[in-house]
Amino acid sequence: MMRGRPDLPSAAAGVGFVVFGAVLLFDALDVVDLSFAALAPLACFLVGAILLASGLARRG
Amino acid sequence: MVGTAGGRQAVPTMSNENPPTENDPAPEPEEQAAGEQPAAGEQPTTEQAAPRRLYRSRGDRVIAGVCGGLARYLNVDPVIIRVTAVALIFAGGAGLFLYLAAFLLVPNEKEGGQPGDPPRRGLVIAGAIVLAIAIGALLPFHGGWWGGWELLPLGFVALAGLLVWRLATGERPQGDARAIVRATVLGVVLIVVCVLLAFGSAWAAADGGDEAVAGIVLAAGLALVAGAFVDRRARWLILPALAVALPAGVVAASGLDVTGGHGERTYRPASSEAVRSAYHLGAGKLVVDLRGAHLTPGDHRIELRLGVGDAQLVVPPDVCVSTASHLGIGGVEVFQHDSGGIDVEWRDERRAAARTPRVVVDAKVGIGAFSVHHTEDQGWHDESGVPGNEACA
Repeated sequence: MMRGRPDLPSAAAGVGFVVFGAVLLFDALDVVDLSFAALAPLACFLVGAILLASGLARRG
Repeated sequence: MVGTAGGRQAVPTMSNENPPTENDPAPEPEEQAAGEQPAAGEQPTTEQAAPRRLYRSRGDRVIAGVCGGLARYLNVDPVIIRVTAVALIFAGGAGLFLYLAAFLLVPNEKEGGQPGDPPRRGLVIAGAIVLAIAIGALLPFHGGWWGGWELLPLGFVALAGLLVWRLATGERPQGDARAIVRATVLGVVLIVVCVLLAFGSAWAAADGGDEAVAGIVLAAGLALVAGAFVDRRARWLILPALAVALPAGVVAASGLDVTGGHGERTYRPASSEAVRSAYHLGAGKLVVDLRGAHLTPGDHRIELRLGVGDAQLVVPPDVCVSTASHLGIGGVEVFQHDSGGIDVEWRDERRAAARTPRVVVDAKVGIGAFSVHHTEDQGWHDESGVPGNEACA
């Protein structure tokens, strides 16, 4: 069991994957029509958030 | 704490004019590395200086501390050694093999700057073999002696495995050769698992399992959020989750759907009534040839759906074609006009002249090409023959 602050990279990645998974689910249910124009920034946001959180955690 | 320095027993010297006191600073590990550490069982004297020892650096390491240790031994900037090592990779892969040989043969530095134990016999044999390959790669024969270039991809795979392990755990490789080899193997296994996951995810999403894949990504996200509050080791889930999520995203964005089977399908309806309203193929080549259909005047709506591959619509010159198409990734050519790239939307709405048949085609291709021509397999940008769509008003 971990005590203290939560692990920032895991938390950031988790939130990112929840958002990404929700978008994929909406696309599968034909609620939205995912295109590369929307996917590219979303993927960059996901990977960028993970890298940023990892860097901040290492710095801390 | 007289008599100890840096956590080790201080060795008395013959010329002990200034014995160490509590106020004396402990010798820096770098100084010890430079050769002031006496060999085990020897009493250093002023006449006999202990030889400098080469070992892999513990504090200055990117992978296994080889470059850091060598730089300290030679008293040069480690960047110079690292740049040289990378440059040597292009000499038949010698840099990679020399690094690997040094990794196996040179002992690791212990805590407090103490030289580590000499490598075991098995590691020495393995190191000697790798060293021979490295020297062979440097020989001026074609492709190196023992085919350094052929073995180089394995070296890169190992390096990638170590980097992936470091990214996944957030820790630098520490410990002896066995611990680093174990980390490398785990990293390579993680790469293989991620590649398999990526292909599996893409195939499942394209084969109608897109909702399930989306659910897996969502579940991984929730597990990571929960794991962030429980255990730092939940991080290992990030890479596999990425391997599942990103290919599924590409499949979703391209509209790739392989549920319609695969192969090469050619449809040549012999009458206007035989023309279907929809043609569907998962992966492969889909050709709808309407030249023998003798289309009646009026509109004929056709839907073309192709997951990945090449879709062609072939029409006779006396038929007008009105096109609306979407391609996730690929190119579209309607007679002598074309477009290509990502998220390609093509609309060419035409009206037919009086008493002229019109084909209204709605095409969707995930990844590949869609074309409308008067002949089958006509090359792109082929401007010979009938220009096309002359029958439109």
